[in-house]
Formats: sequence, C-alpha cells, structure tokens
Amino acid sequence: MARLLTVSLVVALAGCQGSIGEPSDRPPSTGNPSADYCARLDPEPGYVTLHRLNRLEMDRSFAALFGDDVGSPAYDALPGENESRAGFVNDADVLTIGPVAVEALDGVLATLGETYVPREDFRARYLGDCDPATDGVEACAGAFADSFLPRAWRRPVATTERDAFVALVVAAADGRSFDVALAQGIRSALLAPSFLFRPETHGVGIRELDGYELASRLSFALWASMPDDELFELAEAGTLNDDDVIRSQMDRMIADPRFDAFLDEFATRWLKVVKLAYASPDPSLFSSYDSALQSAMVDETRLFIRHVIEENLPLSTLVVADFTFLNERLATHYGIEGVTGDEMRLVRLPDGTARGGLLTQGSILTVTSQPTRTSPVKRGEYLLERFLCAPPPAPPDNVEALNDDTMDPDGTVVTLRERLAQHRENPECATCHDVMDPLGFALEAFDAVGAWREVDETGAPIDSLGELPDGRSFEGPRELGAFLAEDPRFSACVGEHLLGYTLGRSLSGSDLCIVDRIVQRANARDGSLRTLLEETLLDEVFRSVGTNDSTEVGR
Amino acid sequence: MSFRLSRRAFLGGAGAAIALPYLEAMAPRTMRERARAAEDRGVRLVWMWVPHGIIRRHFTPSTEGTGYALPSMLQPLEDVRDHFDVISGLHNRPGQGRYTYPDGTVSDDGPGDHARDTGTFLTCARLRKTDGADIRNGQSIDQLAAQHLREFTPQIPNLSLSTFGGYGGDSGYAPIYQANISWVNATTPAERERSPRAVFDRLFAGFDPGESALERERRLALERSVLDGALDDISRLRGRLGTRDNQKLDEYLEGIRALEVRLETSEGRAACEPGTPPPDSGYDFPTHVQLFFDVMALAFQCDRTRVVTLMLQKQGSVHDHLSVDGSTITANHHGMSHLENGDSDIRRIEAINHWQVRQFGNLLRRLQASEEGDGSTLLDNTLVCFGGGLDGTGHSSGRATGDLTPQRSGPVHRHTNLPILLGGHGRGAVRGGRHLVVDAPLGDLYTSMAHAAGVTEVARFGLDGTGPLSGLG
Repeated sequence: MARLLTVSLVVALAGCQGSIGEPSDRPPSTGNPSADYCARLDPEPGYVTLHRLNRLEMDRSFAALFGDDVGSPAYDALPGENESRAGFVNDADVLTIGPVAVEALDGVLATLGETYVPREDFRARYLGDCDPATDGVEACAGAFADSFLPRAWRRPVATTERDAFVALVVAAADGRSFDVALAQGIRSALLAPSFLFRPETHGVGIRELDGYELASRLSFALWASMPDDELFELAEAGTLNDDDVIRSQMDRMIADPRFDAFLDEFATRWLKVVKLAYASPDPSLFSSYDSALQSAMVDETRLFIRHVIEENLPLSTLVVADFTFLNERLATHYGIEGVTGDEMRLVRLPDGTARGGLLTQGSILTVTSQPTRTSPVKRGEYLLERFLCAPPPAPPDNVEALNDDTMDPDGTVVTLRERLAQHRENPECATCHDVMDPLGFALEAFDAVGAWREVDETGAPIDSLGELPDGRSFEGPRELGAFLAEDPRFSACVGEHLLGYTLGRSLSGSDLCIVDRIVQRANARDGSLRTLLEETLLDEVFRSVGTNDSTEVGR
Repeated sequence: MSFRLSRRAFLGGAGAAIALPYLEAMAPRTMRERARAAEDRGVRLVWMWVPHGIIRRHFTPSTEGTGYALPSMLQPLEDVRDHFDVISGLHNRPGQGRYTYPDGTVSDDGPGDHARDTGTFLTCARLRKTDGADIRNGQSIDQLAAQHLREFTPQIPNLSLSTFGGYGGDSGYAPIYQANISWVNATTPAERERSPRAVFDRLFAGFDPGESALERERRLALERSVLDGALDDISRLRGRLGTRDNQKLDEYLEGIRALEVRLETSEGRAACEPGTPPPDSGYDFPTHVQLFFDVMALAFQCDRTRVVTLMLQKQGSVHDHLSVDGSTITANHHGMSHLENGDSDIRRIEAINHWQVRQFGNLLRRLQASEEGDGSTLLDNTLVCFGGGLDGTGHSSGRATGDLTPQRSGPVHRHTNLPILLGGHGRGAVRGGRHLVVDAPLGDLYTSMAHAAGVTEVARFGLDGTGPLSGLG
C-alpha cells in the first residue's frame, strides 16, 4: 500500500484497465473480494511470524515494568525498524534483530537494572518485605522472580525457569552486593526472547489463543505495550477470550491515556501524517509554515481520530465533519476566528465552511503537496492508496513526463489543470489520471500547506470541480468526502489498515476476505470506526492462530 | 603504552597524519596469530552508495587510460587522482525490470527501479516483488566478505552505516528493499547504524585497562551466566515454533553469540586508544558524513573491523545544505531524479552529485592521513567502491533529457553503465589514476575487491557474475 516513493512522480499512469486499482498482485477487486472468491478460499486465521517488540513497544514495556520516568532508552539506542508497506513499524515479517540491536539492548538493560534496583518503589513492588540482609539472597531473588518474571515474560513461569533465575542471582551475589546481582538477573530476564518476542505456538490446525497470548495481542494493538494487571488477571482466570470481556476491555483500554500509542502508531502512519516531519514547503512561498504550525497540524489529526473513536461517530465522519481541533496558530492558518491560545481544543466549524474531515486538515494537505505547489495528482493518488486501498500502478517509463511549467514558450499562461488535461490526451496516461486527477482537483482550494486560497499559482480562480469518466462529479472537499464515504472500498480500506496494524503483520490476499467479513459485521451494526475496530478484535483472526502450512503456501 | 588522538585530529583529519603503531608492534596475542596467517592481507573494504546514480555528462572522462582530463565533476579529486580509477561500463542487470536469467528464463517485474537500485547494488541478485511477508534478495558482497574476514575482527566483522532512518516502498516492492544495501542473507538486511557516536562507542567502549586478570575472569563468568539465561530461553522456545519463527530466533541467536564473542575477545581492545568520541548530536548533515569517515578510519586504524558500507542518503532525501544559483535545494532528490523540470532539475541533481563526489574525495583524504606502522597509509591498504545502481539519468523520452549526451546518459532509469569510482589501492591490487572502460557485471568488480582482501573463496559474485574483473592491477 505505501508507495511513498512513487507519489511524487505519478504523473503518467498506465495499466489502470477496467475500474481503477486492480494491480495484478492483489486479489480480484481490491478491498471488495467477491463472495465467491472468499467462499472458495475459506480463509484461515494464519499466524504472525515470531513478533519482536519494536523500540516503542520495548520502551513502553520498560515503563510498565520499571516506572513511567524510564524515558525512551530503546528508541534512542537501537537501530530503527523497517516499515511495512502500509507504513507501520510493527510488522513482524520485516522486524529484524541482529548484533547491533542486541548489544544496544544489553546496554540499555544494564542501565535499567542499575538505576531501578536501588529505588524504594521498585523494591516495594517486586521484593515486598523481603530483605536480603536478613531473609537471604535466595529468598529475595525468589520473591522477585515470582512477581517480576510473569510480567516481564507476559505468561506463567515454569518452576525450572524460576529456579534458573534464582540460581543466577545467587551465583552473581557471591562477592557482590545483592543489588548488583539482581540487576544482572534482570538483564538476563529481559535479554531472553520471552521478553523480546511474542511467541505464539502454532502447528497443524487452528488453535484459539490462550488468555496470556490474547492479553498481549490486545495490549500491543491498543497500547503498543505489555498487558496491565487487569488483563493478566483475566488471562489467569481464563475468562479473557469472550466477546463481552473483549468488548469491555477494549472500552477500558481506549479510555486509558496509553491509547495515545494507537493514535501515534496506527493513525498517523496510516494517514502518512508522520511523514510531515520530512515535508519541506518552500519558505519563500509559505513563510507562515513553521514547526509550531506543523506540530498543531499533527495534533489536529490525532485528536480528531481520538474523538471519532471515543464518541463512536460514523466512519463517514473521517471525511465529512462539522468539527475539528484547533489552537490559535492553526485557526489563524485556516482563517477561523475566535480561537485563542496554544491549547488544542474542539471547535465547531461555522456553517458554510469547506473545512471538516481529514481531507481538509493541514497535515494531510501538506504531506500530499510539492514544496512549491499543490499536486492534484499526488492528492488523488494518496486518496486512492490510503482511503480506497486502490493504488494506481507506477507510470510506465516510455511516456512523456508532465510539463508543469505555468507558462508556454510563447508566454501563454497555463494552469496546472490545463497541463494535466494535456497530459491525459495520451490514452496511456488517461486510464489512471482520469480517476486520480479529479479527486485532487476537488481539494485545489487548499494550497500546498493547507491554507484556503481563492486563486491558483497562475492567478486563475480556483476550480474545484472533479469529474470522473463515468460522469459522476463532485465539487470541493465536502462533496468529495461524501463521494468517498459512499464508496464501499472506503470502509474496507480502513478495515484493511486496522487489521494489518492490530495483527502486526503483512496481509495476504485471503486476509482481505477476512477484512470483508469484519466490515460486513461492523456495517450491520452502526458502521462506526470504533465498531470496526471492535469487530476486528472480536474476529477469529485476532483470537486464534492458524497452521503453518496454509499461510506459508499462501505467501 | 597507548596513543590518544586529539579531538582536532579526530574531527579534522585533513593533513594530520596520525601514526598509530601497525598491527605487529602493538598487537595482542590474537593479532600476532593472525599476522602469521599468510592469507591475511590486511585489506579493508568500503562501499559507499548514492541513490539515483550520477548524471554523466560532467562525470565520465572523455578518454581512456591514464592522464585523462578530469571532467568538472571530478575536479575536486585532483589531489587524489592517482588514488582512484573511474570505471565505466559496469552493469547490474539483475536490477532491471525485465531480466533474463543465465538459464534463459525471463522475469519481468515492471516498475520499481528505485527499490532495485538500492536493493541489488551490493547483492547483484533479483528482488522478489512482494509486500513484505516473503522478502527475498541475496547476500550482499560486504556481508560475504565479512563472513570470511570475521576471524580477524570477530567482535565487529563489519559496519553498515547510513545517514537516514526508515523509508517507504516503491511500486510493489516492500520498503525494506529500498532502505538497505547490506543483506546478511537473502531475507534479512543488516542493521543500519545512523549515529557516529553510537558506532564509536560500540567500537571502543567497555575496555578497562586497569582490570586485573582475576577481575576480568570474574566479570566474564557473570556475563556468561547472563547470556546463558537468554540462550536457555531460546532453546526452550525453539521446538515450539514454525520455520519462519525459527529464522527470527536464529537472527537473535546470532546477536547473542556476537555479544559472547565480544566478551571472550575483549582483550583485543587494548591495542588502540581512539581518543575523544564524536559528539552525539548537534551537527549538520555534512558533518554527520565527515564523522562517519572519521569513525571508519579509526575502526580501520585500530583494526576493529575490516568491512564498511555507507548509504549516503536515500532516494527521497532533501539536500537543503546545497544551493543552486543562490537558492536552496528544497525539492527531494527523487522528485528531481526524473528530470521532469528539465534543466532546473538537471542542475540541481548535478549539484548533489558534485557534493557526493567531494565526499568520496574526503574519505580518500581521511584514509590517506592515517599512517599504518609499516609506513603505508590506510588508503594504500583499503578499497573504496563509490557509486550507485542506476546510470544516473531521468525518466521517459521527455524533453528534460534532451540536452544530455545520449551515449552517456540513458533516457530511463537504467541499470547499465553505472557510475563507479574505485578508490585506494588494496595493498597493490589496484593501481589508480585511470579511466577504465569495461563491459562487465558489477559483481565482477566485487569479486576482485574480495580477492584483494584475501577472500579468494568467492569465485564469482551475483546472478550474472563471471569472475574477477581484469585490468585493475
């Protein structure tokens, strides 16, 4: 899905035969696999390749194990993750680990142990009343193992494992202080794959996850962190894998501040807003764009998504809304009055404004622009890719590139719309651009940093009418939003991103059939984003693992 | 006895010839052992990759052999011109969209030249076009060489450096291909290290000259027990997991074993004191690159590693440290690489290429400034392959490419006639000072480089490799 590289050069597309977005490496009718196709396939849940915690998940787990003041040691010390095609960094298939990461992690762990073992709150939590001076090293190492290891490893700990830990600490304490010895024990426990990976045994046949495995899936999906005590208690009681319990846990977890991780890791990556950090609007043209504005733009998108989930608003709210989140800086940028101060807050948008919904947010409008101008092509491609999961293929090599000069050699002024019309005269280009360009045209009233404008780069009045080859048309962002919301591929595409992220793996063709059934169930209820997330977590694919073979063959 | 480099020497490098004792004199036991081994040629290998290739009209010399007139883009290399060869005519056909395997099978993967530029540059293999679940490339030459040379620098067989973080995909290729040139094996890229400071620390930290033998033994026993705990857990898990899971576990096991090796061989660090570490932040991008060169030179000088790769930016980097006609380059490199804006793109890309070539010069000078104990310089004993996996020019038959000399710059992203400079002498393996025109697979150059380092086990490299490239000596 993430075709980041090509977005700036998709100026000449071909190969868009039939309806848009059917690259040959996808199953028929992307996002809407036919019922027949899915019935024949009878998709199995598959499994997740041994999942390494990414840096954020490590740091959040450290915070849970040691204390909230732990900072971001893993993020700072370990090499960065490879991105998945959708832009996520929790894809088990491309999360690697090697000597550099292991050594860096070892250094982080050594420091964590040294720092926290002497602290009273840490000792009280894991050692209780045990005092090595009076109770002995072995007793206290045992007490620590009983409270710390099951959390760190997110599962019950075997007696042999506990004994090995105690033996390590006892041996290390020979000639050293208990604190030093315990720190070494912690280092060993967290270097173990039981911490660093999320192992899910799979063999032949479909197996329902045990409570601990499911607790981890839920917590890493919604919090990018390890389970908390409540999830562990439900796992231990054997009551977690139940529809109502999963629902109530999801509600609890969404209300928790840790849910911010979902917005950071899912929402901003799905929407490519995370790429705003690399956007470079030309300062000579957009002098108002600075880091404060950029940061407000990202916050707007995060808070907006959080609100849509918290309030259980319809999925269509994502593309058509009458509210947003602003501070004074961003409100001024948008030309909206009456918002003062730095704090982001919910703002009802005045009647008649074009703003409202993701398509009109500065973050997305900037990420989909060139440094010096808007790009209807880039915006159109973004919408196809991120909202409809129907990315156009890359342009063929042998066609004339788009000429985006605003003036012909004879001095005639030519608008971008006219240039693109010239470009579409080539039938090879037209098959894709006929669909891509109109989507982008509808957003032309927003400049390359998302500010409202009445005229384009050439001084011509904005024309935000988009007309598709089949005669359908829309004018401006509201009509475009409504158009997207009605397209069944929209909900399927959101579902596809949700499933890939919450599972933490790449999706195969048969997985799209699973997305389809999840979306159908969500739509049979209220069809909200929250319901879609809930149905994802309730589906068999999230609660079970499949056989080795079916998925291995499928890929 | 130890040698401390001044901060100035570390950061500047230019002109400061730093005499560190050569291997033999200061060498600890293991080093003496390996010096006895006839096959150790003490040659270091560097690969330095740039995205999108290089526009050729001011890069390729107009005559062959020695004494060629330096084209304008190579003029910054005047002072080191005797220490590198320009090699024209190398190709990396496995990187093409359409490829005919040696057995005649044809594979057509369509678009994705940027993913293939990066992914195949050091593997000369075919990339499997996939979203991510079944990545397949080949082992890269640096990893293969490091595998054979690791006995000499067991703690750090190689470094994979890059100046950027994550990156997106291209036309159906998973992002992993275009973020990595160095591949441990067909499915796993090497970990890229971004921070010169972190690399420095990994190379040199942890050595305590005051530690007694007894103290060391006690410390090692403890460290071993820590690692044993992790190893036990790995064995317990192994039986319960599937094939792909176990591959991940193997990657991890390699990491733990590397830690073990570091422990057991930590004595070796006594040979060389590197001096002041680089700053860990607060520098600009050009300084970042220079710091990498410094770290590289120190690693070689102290014989901490033999093989280094450096990705000098990524396809979509913004080179806003450069300007053309007084305006800063704000467009991203990839956006311009198709030359859609004609001359304006060409000139901005050439400014980037010019800068990249200067970095090659800076590295050669940095290596030249470091003397080894036998009176030679690091440059004498290193081979630096600089270049990229595309021929350097543009997109389509569009107007933009019209003013580029056709025989030197193709109309599309091609994987033939690659821009390659080979710096250093590899202890006499490469003469330098010439413009060599060949017609050979890129893998043949790599085979020659491996042979120069004593890795003669590599008979040929890459899908279409034929053997060593002739004419380098």
